[in-house]
Amino acid sequence: MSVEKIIPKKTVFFVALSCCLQLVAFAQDPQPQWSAFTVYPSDIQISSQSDSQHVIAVATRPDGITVDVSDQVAWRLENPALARIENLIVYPTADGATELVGAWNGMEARVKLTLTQTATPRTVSFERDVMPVLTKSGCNTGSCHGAARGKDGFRLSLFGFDPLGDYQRITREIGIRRVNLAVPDQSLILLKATGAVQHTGGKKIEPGSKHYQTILAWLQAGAPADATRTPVVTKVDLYPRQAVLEGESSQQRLVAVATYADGTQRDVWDLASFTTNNERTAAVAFDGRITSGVRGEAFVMARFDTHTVGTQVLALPSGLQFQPQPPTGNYIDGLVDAKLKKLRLPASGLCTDAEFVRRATVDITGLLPTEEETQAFLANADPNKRASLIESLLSRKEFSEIWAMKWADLLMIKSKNEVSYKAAYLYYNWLINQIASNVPIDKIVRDLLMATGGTFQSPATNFYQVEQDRLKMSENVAQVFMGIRTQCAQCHNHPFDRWTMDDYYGFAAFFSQVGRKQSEDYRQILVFNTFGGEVNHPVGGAVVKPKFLGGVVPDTSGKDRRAVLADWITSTDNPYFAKSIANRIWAHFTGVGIVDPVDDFRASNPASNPELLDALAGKLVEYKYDIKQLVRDICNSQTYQRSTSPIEGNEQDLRNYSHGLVRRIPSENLLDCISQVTQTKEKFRGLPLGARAVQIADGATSNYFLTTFGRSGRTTVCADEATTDPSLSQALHLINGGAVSGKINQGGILNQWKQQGLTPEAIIDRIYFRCLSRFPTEPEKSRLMQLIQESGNPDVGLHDVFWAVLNSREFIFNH
Amino acid sequence: MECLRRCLRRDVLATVVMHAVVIGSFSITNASQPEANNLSAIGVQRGNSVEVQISGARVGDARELMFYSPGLSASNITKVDANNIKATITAAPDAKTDLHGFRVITESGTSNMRLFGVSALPSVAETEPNSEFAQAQAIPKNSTIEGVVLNEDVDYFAVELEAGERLNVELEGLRHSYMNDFFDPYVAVYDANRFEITANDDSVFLQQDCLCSMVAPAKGRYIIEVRESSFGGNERARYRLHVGDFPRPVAILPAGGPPGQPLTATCIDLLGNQWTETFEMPAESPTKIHSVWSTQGDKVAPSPNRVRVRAMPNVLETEPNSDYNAIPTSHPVPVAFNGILETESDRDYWVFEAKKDQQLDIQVFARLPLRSQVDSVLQIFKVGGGGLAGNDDNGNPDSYLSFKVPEDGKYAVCVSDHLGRGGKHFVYRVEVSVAEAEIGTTVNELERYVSQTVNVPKGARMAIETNMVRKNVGGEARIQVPDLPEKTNHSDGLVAADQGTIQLIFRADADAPSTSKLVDLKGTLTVNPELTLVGHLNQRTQLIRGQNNVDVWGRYDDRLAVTVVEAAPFDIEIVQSQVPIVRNGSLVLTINAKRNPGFDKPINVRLLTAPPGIGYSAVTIPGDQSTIQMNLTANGGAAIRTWPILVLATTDIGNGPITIASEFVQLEVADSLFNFKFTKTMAEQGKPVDVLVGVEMKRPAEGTIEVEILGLPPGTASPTPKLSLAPDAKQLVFPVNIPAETRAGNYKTVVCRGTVTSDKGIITQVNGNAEVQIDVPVAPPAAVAAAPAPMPAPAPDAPKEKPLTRLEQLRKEKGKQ
Repeated sequence: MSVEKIIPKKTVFFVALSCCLQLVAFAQDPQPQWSAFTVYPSDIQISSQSDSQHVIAVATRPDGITVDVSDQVAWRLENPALARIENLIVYPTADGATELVGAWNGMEARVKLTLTQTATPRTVSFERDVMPVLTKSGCNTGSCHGAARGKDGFRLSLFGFDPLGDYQRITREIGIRRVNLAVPDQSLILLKATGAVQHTGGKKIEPGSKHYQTILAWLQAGAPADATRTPVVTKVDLYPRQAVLEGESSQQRLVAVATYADGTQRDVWDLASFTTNNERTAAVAFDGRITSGVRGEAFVMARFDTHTVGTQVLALPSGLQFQPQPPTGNYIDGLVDAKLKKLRLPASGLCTDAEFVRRATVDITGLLPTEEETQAFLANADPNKRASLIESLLSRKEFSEIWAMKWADLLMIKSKNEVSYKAAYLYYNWLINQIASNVPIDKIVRDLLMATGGTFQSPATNFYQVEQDRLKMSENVAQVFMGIRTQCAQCHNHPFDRWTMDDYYGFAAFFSQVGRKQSEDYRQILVFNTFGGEVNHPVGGAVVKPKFLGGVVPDTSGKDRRAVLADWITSTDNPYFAKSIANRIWAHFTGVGIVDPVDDFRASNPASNPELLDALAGKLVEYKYDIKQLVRDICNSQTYQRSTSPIEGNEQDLRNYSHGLVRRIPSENLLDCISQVTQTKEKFRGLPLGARAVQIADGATSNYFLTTFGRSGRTTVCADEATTDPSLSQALHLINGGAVSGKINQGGILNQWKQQGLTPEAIIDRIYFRCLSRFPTEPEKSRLMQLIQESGNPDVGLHDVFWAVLNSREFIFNH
Repeated sequence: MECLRRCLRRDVLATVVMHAVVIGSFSITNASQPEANNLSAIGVQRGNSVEVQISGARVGDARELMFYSPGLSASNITKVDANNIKATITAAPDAKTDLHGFRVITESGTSNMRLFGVSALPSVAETEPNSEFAQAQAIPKNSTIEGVVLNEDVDYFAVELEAGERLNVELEGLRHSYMNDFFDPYVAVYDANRFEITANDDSVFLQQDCLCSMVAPAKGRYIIEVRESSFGGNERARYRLHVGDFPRPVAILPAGGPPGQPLTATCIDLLGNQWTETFEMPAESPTKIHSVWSTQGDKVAPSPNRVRVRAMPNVLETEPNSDYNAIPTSHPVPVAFNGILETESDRDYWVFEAKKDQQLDIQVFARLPLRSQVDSVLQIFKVGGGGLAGNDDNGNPDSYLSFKVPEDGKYAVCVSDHLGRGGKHFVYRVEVSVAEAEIGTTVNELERYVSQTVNVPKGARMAIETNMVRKNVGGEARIQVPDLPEKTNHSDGLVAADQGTIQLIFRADADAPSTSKLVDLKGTLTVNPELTLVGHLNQRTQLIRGQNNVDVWGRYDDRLAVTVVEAAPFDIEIVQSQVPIVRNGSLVLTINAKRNPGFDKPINVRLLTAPPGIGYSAVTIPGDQSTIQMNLTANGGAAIRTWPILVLATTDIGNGPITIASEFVQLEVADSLFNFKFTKTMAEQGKPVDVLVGVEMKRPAEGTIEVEILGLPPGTASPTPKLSLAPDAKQLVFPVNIPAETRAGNYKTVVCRGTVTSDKGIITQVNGNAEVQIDVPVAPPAAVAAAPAPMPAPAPDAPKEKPLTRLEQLRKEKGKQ
């Protein structure tokens, strides 16, 4: 019998049915073996008479399935004189320390309980108590009063980034209309929130509820301003950290505990906002109760104050038979397999040699393997031939060109009013020389951040010329080098991440002393450190000291702030840099980042396999940021070499690498591949005839094909500016445009083969082998031969075959 | 047509810098002058000749090439067609190795300036194919290659060197470009195995042109690559590449010396090699800049180094000088400090002594004129104290401070590089001197961005605007042009003490020969005879424009091109007005053209300079007329003075336009005559109203004095719009009929024109704006409307009351209450 049947679907029935169900559970044969029984939170601190703490209990089966058994547990306190527990809530009675004990199914779990100041009720605070209620109730969201201009004449700061301003607006704006201190429960703020008077947002707070009582208590106390600023919330813990739910409609409660800077803890179960990133797999209710759905993985997040924390929820079908495969391959495969095992996902087998040679060549060099290369690879009997191929591909200069192009996209290398073509050209050449010379990425990043001099003489200085707004510059640095999007925090605390306005302007302060001046050549700008200039906080206008994102305020006096920042970003201790780079590399070869989008690391967008990301980042650091070595690891892994054909059970998986993903070849590479197989040459500005599209220096240089197929416009630092999304114009261009048909004629390769005396059958073989790295199947061949015969003219027929192959999905996709 | 449009645009731009608002309807610009756009050869070895085809516009009737420097001459000037000529340019054996400016002189005008290079080395033509490394064109060492970089073209040249042999590669590229053709070259030198030995994009010493210096590490073949820095290029991207073991200092220390004394200096090349040479310094140098050529044996640098000429002692750097409190020697002012920022983050201090309240000029010379790498930062410290002043850039990378000495004592000058760079050739010079009186002259451009020349038609005139530049001195001055072409003269160039700009007329006799000359505009002060200051012309010629017409490359010259051109088929004169133009007034200027028989083309007329506050519209005399009237207007702030004015008249003579100037007439700008006082008038639809205008004469005037009301609301009219003004009148009343259908509203369009008409002319003044509010009549009360109104008895004529202003009416109503 599955746990699904053990755990009641509705809590309200739970208590009534628990005894009976336990009997049912005990009656099972074989009885489930429980490997763990845990009570959360693991440490309870109650520091006032007003506080209490929710507790839950979770049992874990040997196969990893977790069950919320909170209602079945027999709770007791070692010292009942200090506290009491009712309905899973611990209330303080007296100061002291004791233990909360939960007993279930012969197992026992103990939680330390510390009680202080239990005789003293805590006075209600606007910032600590009232603001969280407004936030939890959604009053200060962007669609309500948190909008820039408020709503219906009442404005609150978005997600409460400005408590002082909010206090002012509630208590002082429009006279004292919003609060009624004489009759507190008739205050407009309460009447509106409870729907007692017309309120566009409807009823947000239940009269008499705990939230209602909080606001009322504050009003009854005279709506006081806080005498001192509330200690900041230093962290929020969400329990359990992982839940593996079996079957649909299984449930799991969550407990959220906030820790303040003064060391106190607070149960924020009813003040945190709960969200899920996968509603179908794990829906989460207003009170943090998770209900499982279809098979899959979800992250359920709790947001309180400026903190967003998540818990991983796996939903598995009932009675799933899963036989984990024995671990093979390198460290990557071990970590991927571990995740697959957790999800009970089977992995597809390895791809064929023909598939591999095409896949690896396109991924590593941006070109197709030549017929000779494919032939040699297929004929090679060496068991290590894949590794050898990877090695030879990595040594080709095309490898560095792909990465130069990717970085050029991110660094927005493009001529425009502020950046002359010469500057863009020199910047790109600097970049490609760095990558071709195998300069480690951390060194390149340091050189960019610390660039000083003329945009022609020291092309890295164009980094500061491409974007001259220091706020945008700081956003770009965070996004490009650390995968963090801080943009939201420019105007308000980030709603789905930890970044506050303080963080934002603290980070921007690193760029407040970048000076620029015109050089003698009007096209060239001199970039230098001015050793002067500050950033002011828009709320209050105070000077903001430079502060690392999520880090400390470093000593920057007398130093080039950019150097201090560069040291921190590229430090091996930096929690973001290596992961961000590793994730970008990984996404290139697998089609999807461990964090996806690759430049959106945030608490509410967690990594699909954090252990793998950590391992890749660790290796990158170990390799001293030599990306070639990491690429070698990735390409040699079985994960990379898996077939793109899913097998039963992993069809739906797109994030866990149980099978390869079919990927559209990026626009530049696709054009190069078409030119390669048709033996034609393209002409781009500043490059000799026949140069490849990946070598284009200036983002402003493009052609219709590249634009249509999603070449990056290099206008933002977003990785998804270069897109492989399909469009009708792409299909029409391939079918009707000059890219395919014109190039077939222009290249004249069909004529060459004809002159070599090849038969139509042989030419079809050559076309297939050249474009798809395989020979046609017999049915394909016989159908094509029939078409050629029907066309009346073999030349026309073969042209059509070539055209059709280049238009096939098999050609334009890497698989 | 495109050219015409461009002219129009340029004219509009040019008028922006004029004193008055001019609504231009046509242009008089140099764009119609001959244009030399492309040269088939851009240089020659001295002692040799080369045939050059000059292509452009309207150069077919060229008669001369006018060179700005000695040593070059042109012969065999032949017309290919209306827009192309051929000429043989000869460089004398002693011609200087430099870029020499010249203009093409035609029968009708003077072209833009172009540069022609003179080298000491034999010329070798670039020969394609040389676009591949393996196809490098073999050249002898010590030669000048003349080549062109086509689009994405790369030129390779091979030269054989012995181990340890010096090779300098200097390129003239950008400096030969013209206007928007921005050829930015790049040079690299590789060994036979393609390893780069040296490369240069922008040398600083040669601006965006390239300079490479190297010593061959081994005997062998070395390949020189020439291309556009970002693989651009076109058929006009011509270059001259000097390749050889000639001396090529990029720095000279000291970077200047007193006039008339030999300058013994250390020459430093890019590699840091140093040698000593002695250069002759001129006895006089108006620009304080002198070109010197490094010479070793029979080898000479392909282009000069520039040094300062100034009568002040040189002080050379002695290390250590990085602590200004520890420098033992101090120097009296004036003094020139000459040093090198040799290492990274080097800061050089120099100590001088100064007296309280001395006004010092402290100027760093590095980028200009030395073309040093140093991007200077200048700071002043008090010895034993702290920093007092600082400057980074002063319109160019060099620094300048005007420093008033706070107290007697020792002060330190600190020079450093903005980016903390340093090197063996990072030379600079700081001149510390008491601010001196200086004067000079400049010429305004009639067409923006095009340096002005003067083309004087025979028997007529041409005029330009010239400026007297005074620094640390004031007073009346005079601009004179000595040494004009034969049978030409100019108007008196007296510049009042409170003026900077004057108009100068150049006149040519009818029998003046067709000659051209480069002339100085000499400035002197008429007062303060004890000041024997002489100012000279400094004219900027912009040779390359960048985006938004930014000045990329050009040169300064101390002489102006004056050419006697063919006669114009007409003459022009302004009729002297006998009455002044008053503030807020207007004046009609009559302009007469004397047409030669048979000449019937339209003539465009504009003022050269409109006095401050005077506006006008350019006019065109139709082909069948000889007189036109030009309306001048004066705003309320027009400067009260008698101004000389003249017009420029332009017509098309088939080979482009020709322009002549009139003689001066005097325009008297006087204060306004009428003092108008406007009040708001309240009116109702369908009821006549009186508009009251307070008016009085500020001073007596001869003639008939009248005031006319204008700009009444549409549909309304005054039966007596024009009224005479009695000498003692204070107010005029203009009755205005307001028809019932007049649109209600507040009209602020009403103005008054006062005129004084006499036999000398008409003085006109217009002031506004009176306000007339027209309201919809208030409906009568309903009760009153219901009652049948008795037939009113004819009322006796009311006694005529004094008309009241709106304010008076309101006061009266209030009094009733």
